[in-house]
Order: sequence, then structure tokens, then C-alpha cells
Amino acid sequence: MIYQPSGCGVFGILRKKESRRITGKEVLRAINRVKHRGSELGAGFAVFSAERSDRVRLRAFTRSPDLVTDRLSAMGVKIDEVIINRNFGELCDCSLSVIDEPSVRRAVRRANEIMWEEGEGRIYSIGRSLQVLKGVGYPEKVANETQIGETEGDLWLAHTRQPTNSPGYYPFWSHPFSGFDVAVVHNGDVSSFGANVEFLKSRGVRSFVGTDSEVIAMLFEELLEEGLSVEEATQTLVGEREFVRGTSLDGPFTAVLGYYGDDLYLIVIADKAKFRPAVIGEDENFIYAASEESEIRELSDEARVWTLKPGGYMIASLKRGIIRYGREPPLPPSMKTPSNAIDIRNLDYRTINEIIAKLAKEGREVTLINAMGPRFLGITLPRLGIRNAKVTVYGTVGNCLANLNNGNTFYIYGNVGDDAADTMHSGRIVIIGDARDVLGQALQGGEIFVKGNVGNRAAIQMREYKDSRPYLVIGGTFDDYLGEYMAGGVAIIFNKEDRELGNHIGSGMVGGRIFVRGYVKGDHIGLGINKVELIRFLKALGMRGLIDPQKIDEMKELSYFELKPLLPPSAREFAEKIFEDKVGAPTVEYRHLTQTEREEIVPIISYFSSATGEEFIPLMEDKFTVISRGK
Amino acid sequence: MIIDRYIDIPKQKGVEFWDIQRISYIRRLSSTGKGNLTLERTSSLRVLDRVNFKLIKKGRGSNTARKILGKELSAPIYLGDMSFGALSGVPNMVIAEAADRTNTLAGTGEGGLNPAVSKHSNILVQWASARFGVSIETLTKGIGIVIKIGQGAKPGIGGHLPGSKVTEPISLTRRIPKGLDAISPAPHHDIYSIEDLGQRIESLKEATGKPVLVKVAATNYIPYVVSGIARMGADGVIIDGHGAGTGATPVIVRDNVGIPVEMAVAAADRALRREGRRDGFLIVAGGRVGDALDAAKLMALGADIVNLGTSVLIAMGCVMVHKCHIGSCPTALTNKIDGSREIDFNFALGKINNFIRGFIEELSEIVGGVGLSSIDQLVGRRDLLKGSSLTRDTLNVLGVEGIPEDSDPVMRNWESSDVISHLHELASKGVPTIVSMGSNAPPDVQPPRRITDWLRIDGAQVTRPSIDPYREQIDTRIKLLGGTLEFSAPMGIDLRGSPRAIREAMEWAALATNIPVLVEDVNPGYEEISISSEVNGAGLWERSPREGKYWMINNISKGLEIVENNRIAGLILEEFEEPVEVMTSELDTYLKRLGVRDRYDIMVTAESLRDVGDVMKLVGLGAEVVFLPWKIMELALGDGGRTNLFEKSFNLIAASKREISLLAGAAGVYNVYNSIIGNRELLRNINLNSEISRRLRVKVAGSL
Repeated sequence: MIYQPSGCGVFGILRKKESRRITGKEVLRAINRVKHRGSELGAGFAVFSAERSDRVRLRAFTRSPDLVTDRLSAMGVKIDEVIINRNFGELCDCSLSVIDEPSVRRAVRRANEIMWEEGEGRIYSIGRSLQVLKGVGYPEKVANETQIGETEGDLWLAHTRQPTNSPGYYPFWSHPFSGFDVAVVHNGDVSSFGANVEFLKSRGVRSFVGTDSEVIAMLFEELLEEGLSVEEATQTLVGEREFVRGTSLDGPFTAVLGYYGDDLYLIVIADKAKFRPAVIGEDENFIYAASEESEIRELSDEARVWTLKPGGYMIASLKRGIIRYGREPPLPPSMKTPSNAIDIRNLDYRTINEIIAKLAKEGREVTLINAMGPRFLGITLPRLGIRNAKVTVYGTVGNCLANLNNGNTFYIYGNVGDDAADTMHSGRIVIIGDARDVLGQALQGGEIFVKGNVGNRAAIQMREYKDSRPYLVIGGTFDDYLGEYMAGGVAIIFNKEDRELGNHIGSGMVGGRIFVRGYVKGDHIGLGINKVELIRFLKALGMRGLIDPQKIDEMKELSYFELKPLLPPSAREFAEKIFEDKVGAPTVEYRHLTQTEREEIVPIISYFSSATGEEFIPLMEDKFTVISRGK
Repeated sequence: MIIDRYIDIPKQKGVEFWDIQRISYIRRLSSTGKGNLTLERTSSLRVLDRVNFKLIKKGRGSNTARKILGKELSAPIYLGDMSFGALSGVPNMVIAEAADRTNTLAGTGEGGLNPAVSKHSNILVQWASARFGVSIETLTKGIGIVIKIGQGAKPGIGGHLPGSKVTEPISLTRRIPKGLDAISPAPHHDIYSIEDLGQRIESLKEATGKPVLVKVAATNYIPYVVSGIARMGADGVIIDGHGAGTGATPVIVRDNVGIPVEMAVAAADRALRREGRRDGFLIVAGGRVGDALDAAKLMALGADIVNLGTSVLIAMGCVMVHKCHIGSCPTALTNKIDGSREIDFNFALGKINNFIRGFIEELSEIVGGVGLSSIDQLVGRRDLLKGSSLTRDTLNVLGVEGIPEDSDPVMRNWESSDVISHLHELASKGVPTIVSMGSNAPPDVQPPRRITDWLRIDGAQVTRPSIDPYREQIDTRIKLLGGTLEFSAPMGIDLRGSPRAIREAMEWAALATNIPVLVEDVNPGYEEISISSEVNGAGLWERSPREGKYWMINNISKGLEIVENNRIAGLILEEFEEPVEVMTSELDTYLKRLGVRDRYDIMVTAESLRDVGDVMKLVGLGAEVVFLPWKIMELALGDGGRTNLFEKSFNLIAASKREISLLAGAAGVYNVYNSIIGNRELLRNINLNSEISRRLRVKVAGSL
């Protein structure tokens, strides 16, 4: 078997019960917004309609439709109709309609085994209410070839593919992948692939085209078949629920699943490290899933959007709407856009950067509106030696905003994508909205202000140098690994709505300070420790008289940060060796800010308040959890 | 102190790749500047040494000039990428100067740019995961940018500068505290996938206008990785093979992860050609390039340029004492920067210049000797090569002719001093052992002592991120008996037959770290971690199949049918005649075929297992728990005292557990239990006996 890992852009949309159906044209517009994530090597769509027909529809890529009909007939499948849709060199894409019988599912699986083995082709779409339409090329080309424009559906998935390798001129590896009334599009490279395949083989699956996306579809189908509910199967995939080994996914993934069973479901899953982006949206009529916010904004200005929590999932259905949100959703945006500004809705990033550079050179302020996820904004300014530009952007900004920034100021009214302000040396970035993952990596000067929330790994590797100390201030909350490997600078988090905080704060911290308003539980800081391990460790310490065995019961309930000071030095040494990372666990205090800290921070927070239009100074009277370097 | 001459080469303790012969050869070249080509190579296990030009005549030289990244180079040679910090300053300047003078290229590594380095015209600067020293000024100083994803000595692990070397100047350049280890994140936190890499390449081009290369370690998916890099718009790739040098790396990663550059280059070149992406894309190959013959063979296998690192250090006087990570280099190449010892600039420069000139002269002779008029014509000419003593799979990956031949999987029965000192360090320090310079591990330097030695573990590069093992949560727990028993790692200690003092200490350490012990009788207090033949263990074993118990056997061919009909808990495979690798894999495969694999646990024990490298490979072949023999404690103690046995046992196990996290993280795995057990995709073999590799279902390195 050849293994085909792939990157990609994904999209999913489900209509709400009272709403109209969705056309292929709209889906194409959305996925086209992330064309840069894909390549000419593959794209595809899955369309579901919530009506059960008495026919099962199949689609196959094959050297000849006769090969498919022969194989299926030999297994007793009654074929109704065969249509050749189009040709790809030596392959053709054909549709079959067959009589719905319980044996069809197994017959298709078996036929696929033989056909794949013999190099005859593959049935890639199977279901009563599902059709997968895929091919080789960018989404536009595949959409034209499969004529999806006017097609209407209740649920759509779309995909643009970025394979890491290709016999890509064949369409077999394009997404979506299908099980029976199951379709999956996926972005990532699952490291458990081998283990998942071994599980599926143990359940009698013999034939794989060889990609983790196909395996996700097969796993989901198998889990349902083994009696799990839709939510249980979803929890198993993300590893929240234990079933049988090899049924969870590991490594980076964001997958969007469509499934028609007792209801029509749209499901989105994200890996626990949130290595791949997953943006969810909802408006009056539709529920959206996307790799980048711009895909949703293409269809809806009003939608409220949020991201999945690390390791989280969203489940929505036609009848019930959103069943699991994947995190507490925010309010819809209410941004007033100025009218006399430059409209960048349909400009590419190079053009936008040229406009910014030109105006900035002339010493003019730059105001841009209708941003639809442009990447790399402001990234050319440092090389051009421009240091005091002021750029204001309305809309959603894509990844890598103002990397290497050196003295320029950016105001963003809207949400900002991943990797903003990487290796920024000086300047200011003000985000009136949320920022996604990895904000301010290796930030070493200047300020970043976020009025809303931030994603995973904000302020990682922040550092300071001589008289240059960076500040990152967040009005809302954050996901996991805030301040990982932080070496300097200050991160201040107000969590003004008292929302849930991320885990592993300050893991591997070697310098700098993190202030989180309110009490942060010990198990949110540094690397977690496992209960069973802790109990056995304490028991062993007790056996050698290193701690009082009577105290074990109360000690085992403590977090590591509470426990550590209670251990005598000889026991502490053992604890550090198994429970701490190389640079030691961070130091944690819960207290009011000191006078010196106030003097340092108040001017920053005053500026933060005026920049975000919200008063944060009074919150500085609250107690903070202060996290700093350990050893 | 100023070092301005070569110091004597000390006697080498064990088998080394950079042996006295190789070092002396480089010194000769560096002293005379004259080529001294020898085509004879004494028997070697390295695959590249088993590939040779079919016909090579001594005689006229040929043209070695190549145009690379718009520069007309005197020869396709790239020096680097050794960071400021890993090297002690002066050597960084010498290398940059030597590249300018000999008209070759030099990569600066990730530690920031010293002004004495940045003034040179043939340098490439690095964008690495920690961003040390990165600014728009440094990025635009070179002729190109290297995005460093990984390196051959430690695939899936970030750069590592030990705290002892983070002195004032390093602390200032890298902007991190003095005296603390500088460990770059294992992945780039902005590059978790191929399209993320594309985004970073595009952003660097937009920000700087410079060409961008991507440096990766050679690992399982190298053809995909390189093809993806090419498609993402990079100008080239630097493929760093296992065995490449380093200033500091965990030994467990160095000696178990990654594949040889020769196999990686051949596979990558073929993938690119098949996709029509080879033209205009640069392949730089590094890792154990010892002389011009190695270079020429790598080019014939598909490389455009070769990367010289360790050989350049040897030219400047390195005597291979493996002290780079301590900072006490006697030759002042990798010592800590504290003003106490420095290498003489002109001495080092003279030697490198000579070395490169001699190297080029030899390269020229080889190119002429195989009948080509220019080195450009050599790239990808596999037809000029033949292989010997290589398996069919290996020949296929290389794409060279040869009569397939299988080697005996066991080639020695002596203990390697490297393994012993590794165990000793674990027991005395309680943290994963850090070493420096390239690997001498089997199967291609030291002879293999068991099948695990032929297997390599995957390191995640580009297609998925590795997981930072120091700062992120990796779950190494495993579950037995249907989830009722939980241990902290897929590792245990076989304490049967152990002396009392060792048993007491190791049993206690096993409890404190929550790993199982394999015993006959159970000591009170240790019931919950004991897999015993007596009734009060948490798991029970017997030498015959009994309901609810583990069945200990040493020959699975006798027992397979019985397994199905007995409600045993699982099997403990004990090595007798058949290697446990083969037994484990075949049992795992057999149970999966029956669809009952999840009903049984597979545990493994063998006298000659040594460290978690062995453990993780057996886990990849299907074992839930691998018991290391108690004898590793005795080996760790060596001739030293028998004091502090409890602490040393604790250290040995706690540090080994951390090494499991290192290997899992390097492979990009968060959950060992779900994702590694029986996952052969994470393994590859190097020239392993075909019959064995078929029985293990482990593919050869470089194949897909």
C-alpha cells in the first residue's frame, strides 16, 4: 500500500431546518477563498440530501464501467443504471444506481478489494443520500467537470488538496473519501495511520487506496457499525473516549465529516494539539466549517465564528442544529466599516502589500476594508526600511500578519489568522477581535494587544533583549501552551468574561512573566501529571520513609505545584526527575500585583484600554496568578 | 590558550565511523592541499560503501564547476550548517571565509549571525524553530535562507545547546538566559504541514526576495517530504542523513531515528523525476560525507551538491573525542566561548582551504575517471554504479545494479561500549543521555547484535510536526488486561533470577515510576506492578495456557492454534531460539488476521535487550510491554560501586521513560498506546535480511 499524506483546505456547510438548500456555486466560492492551501493535484465535493431513495448510488473511477458492473453483479448486486460522466485518460468516472439491499455495502467493499488489487479502479462514492464528486485540478476545474454549479444539497463538503506526494494525476487520492453515506475531507497527516490501518485490517478491511483521510471515513463507519452513537464515535476519533486501540487519531488533523443516518450530520474534529486550523461559523440559515474564516465570510458577513478547542469537536444536524459547539461561541461581530477606504476584497496579498508600502512611504496612514483573509500583510515593510507606518484593516486577516515587524503599527478590526507577529522586534499590533494560533511567537519587542481571545501557543518563545521588553495583552482567554518556552517579556491576560482557560501554561518557561487575572488551577500550568503515577510514586516514597505514609491520601489530591513544597528535599529530587521537564516546572504565585509591577504595567494597560475602547485598569485591582521561570 | 596546530589523535575506544584512517586521510589532504585518491575501501557495513563505480580509471581530471543559486561555484560543496554557539565563534568565521576563498557555499546554522560572518558573500542564513538571531537584517545578509526543519543527527528534535555553553555572548545573541540549555522547539510552531511550509516559504520570499532552501532529516517519508518541498516553491532541499554530526543530541534519538542519506537521496531524486519536478530544484546531500568518492557517489545517486560538516571540523583539527556537548573541546572548535581557549584563525583557514582544494582535485579525478567531462553530467547517473552485499529491496531503492545478497542478522555477540556508557549515564544522572558528533550505532557502523539494530524509527518532518518532548504532554501510558492495569510506559523490568539487592532497588524504582516487573514470587507491597507466576501479582503468568493468565512461551509456532481456543490474558514471549522480534511481529499479525488482537496483550522479554531503542522497535512490531533484563542495571553499574542502588535504579528507569517520550515525540506521536503499538509504518529497515524483513512486515528505508 502506498501512503498519501496530505495538507489541504476544507469546507463544510449544513443548512438549518427552516432554511433553503445550498447550491454548488456557493460552495465553490467558499473553497476558492483558500485556493492557496491546495494545488492542481486534486479537489472534490460531497453533497448530501436528506431524502432516502430506494436506490444506492455509486460512483467509480475505472478503466471500464463493465469491470465494475461485472464485479458487482458477480456478488449479487442488482444494477439499475450506469452512466459514464467523463474520461480521464485511461480512466472514466461513472455513476451507478443499484437496488438498495443490506448486502450492497459488503459487496462494494469486496468489489473494491478485487478491483484495486487488479488495477481496475475504485468505487469512491457510496450511499443513498450522498454523492462524492472529485477529480484532478483546482476546485474550479473539478466543479466544472462535475457540473455542480446548480446542484442543490442540504449538506456539502469541499476540499482542495495539497498532497505531499502524487501519483496525483489519478483522481483516486482526491477528497472527499466515502463510506456508506459517510464523507470525509481532511487536513493533516495522521501519525497513527499505521495503527488505524492495523485496527481496520483486524476488522476485515483489506483494501486501502492509502491515505489517512480514507482511513478516517472507514474508522467512523466501523465505529458506528460496532454500536457507538455519532457522538461516541466522534469522541473516539479525537481520543476523548477509549474504545479499542487503533481507533483514535494522533498527530495533526482537522477533519470535516458528513453523515446521513437517523439525521443528517455535520461533524468537525480537531487534534489535541490544534496543529490544524478549524473554524466554525453559524448564522441564521447555515452552519459552517472551514480552514480559514474567509471561506465563511465569503458567504456570510453576519455569521459568528469560533474555533474548536484543542482536541474538540462540533456536531450539528439538520433537525437539531448545533448539538455540540466545540467551545462557547462568541457574539456575532458588530463592526462599522468606514466607507472612504481602499477595498481589498478581491486583491491578492502582493498588491495589498504594494499599496501599503506606497502609501506608507508617502507618510500616509493606510486604511483597508473588506479584508477576506489576505496573508502576509505588512511583511515587506521591514526590508523596505519603513518604520512608522500606521495600517488599519477592517475584515478578517489571514495568516502571518506583520511577521518580522520593526516599528510599524497595525490596527485590525476583525479576527486575525495564525502566526501573527512572528519574530516581531518593535511596533504595535492591536486586534479588535480574536487572534488564532501561535500569536507573537519569538516576540522580542513592541506590543501586541488583543481585545478578544487567542488560540493555542500565544506568546511562545517570547524574549527580551537589553532595553527591549515586549508586552502581549489579552482581554479574553487563551487556549493551550500559552508562553511555552518563554524567555522574556510580559504576557497579561484579563479573561474579562471569566471563561475557561487553556492548559499547559508556561511549559518549559525559562524567563519572562505571565499574569493571568484570577486563580489558575495547578493542573492548567506546565505539564500535567497522571493520578495513578502520582499515587504509586507517593507510595514508593512512603515505603522508604521519604514521606509520612499517613499523608499520602491527602497529598494525592493536590496539584503538583501544591504538592512539591510539601516534599522533603530528598523526595523532591525524585519528583523533579519524573514530573518536570528539562528546565523545571514554572513558579506559580497567586497574589495582588506589587507596586513595582504596577508601575511597569499600568502605562501599558492604559494604552491597551484606549486602543481597544474598553476600560481594563480597574481589573488590575484583582488578584492575579503570576507564572514565572522555575529552577 | 591559542590552538594553532593539530593535536595527536587519541586511541579510539570502540568502532567509529570517523576512525583513525578517515581522520588521517583528511589531515593529509588538509596539510598538503593535494588530492590523494584511494579507491580501495576496507569492508564496511555502510550502504554507500557497498555501492561503487563500475569502472573508474585513474587519469585526467575534469571540470567540477557548477552554477548553484546563481553562483558559479568551483565545485558543488556546501559547508555547514554549524551554529554560532555549537561552534565557538572563530570556526564559524573560518568556515565563512573559506567558502568565499574556495568559491563554495557555507550555511551559518541557527545561532544568529556574527558581523565577522555576515560580511561574507557565499553564506546562507538559517530560519530555525527558535528564531535565534533572526531579524530582517540577518535574513537578507546571505545569498539565500535555509528553513531548518530537522537534522540527521536528531530527526524530530530541535537544536540543542547545553547550558554550559550558553555563556554571555551566546545569551546576548540568542536572547535567552545564561547557563540554561537552549533547546529549540522540536517542530516549527508555524509549520505543521506541507501547506504551512509553503506559507512560510512564500512569506520569506515576500519579506526578503531571497531564494529559500529547506533542510530536513532523512526519515521514512523522505520522497514525499522532498516532493512536497519542491511543490511548495522552495529552491532546494538539504537532506541530512542519519549519522551526521551534531553539537548535542539525546543518544537515543541519534542512534535509533532516521535513515542513511544515500537511500534518502536516491528515493527523493526518483520521486522528483517521476513528477517532473527535478529540473531547477537543488538537492544538497549531507551526513557522513568523508571524501570525494562519497561525494561523487551521492551525486550519481541524485544529489546536486554535498554538505561537508564533520569532515570540515576534522580538517580544522577535530580529534573526535565527542565532547562538543560539554564545551571542553581540546581543539577549540566546539568549546564554550569564555575566552579560555581559541583556535588560531589562520591555522584553521589554511587547513580548510587545503582540504577543500584537495577534495576538489580528487572529485575532478573521479569525474574524469568515470569518463565524464563535467560534474554536471554526474548527477543522477545511477547506471555508473553497482552495488554489492545489498538486499534486493535496498538495490531497488538505490536504483543501482547488483546481485542481491542477504546478510546474517546477528553479526556480533559483544557489548558495545556506547551502549554501556549510555546505561551508566542514565543511572547516574536520571535524565536522557546527551552526546555529540555522529552516530556509530549499528547497523551501518557497528555490527548489529540483534534484529532491532537493523530497524530505524521515523522522525516527523514537514508532513506532520514532531511533538516537543520537553515541553508538551506526550502520553506514554499503556493498558493491560482489558484496561484494568495501567502502567506509565510500554516498558518493564524482568527481575527473574536477579540478585537480592538489585531486585529490591529496581522493584522499588519500578513502583515509583509505575512500570511493571516480571517475577516469579511477589514481594509484599509490589503486588500492583508485579506480573508473577505466584497468585498475588496484578497479572499472572504460566508456562501453559490458562484462562485469565499470561502464557509464557518461547516458540509461537507450537502455540498459535491454542491461543484461539483459550481465554488466556495474553502471551509473554521469551527468547530462546527464535528472535523475539520475529515472534512478536508474527503473533501480532496472526491475531490481527483473526480479528482478535485487542483481546490479548503481548509482552516480550529477552536477555540481550538493552535500552528503549529496543523497546520502542518491539512495540512498533506489536508488543504492549517489553521487559528489559535486570542485567542492564549491572551493566550500568559496571566496575563502579554498588552504592545508592535505589537512586540509580530510579534514575535508570525514570530517564528511560523520558527517552520513550523523546522517540514518540520525534515520530510525531502523542499517544503511544493508540498510535505506536504494532504500527510498522513508523519503522524502516536498513539492508536487513529479506526473509526477516518480510516476516516483520517492515519496509526498507527510502521505500514508500
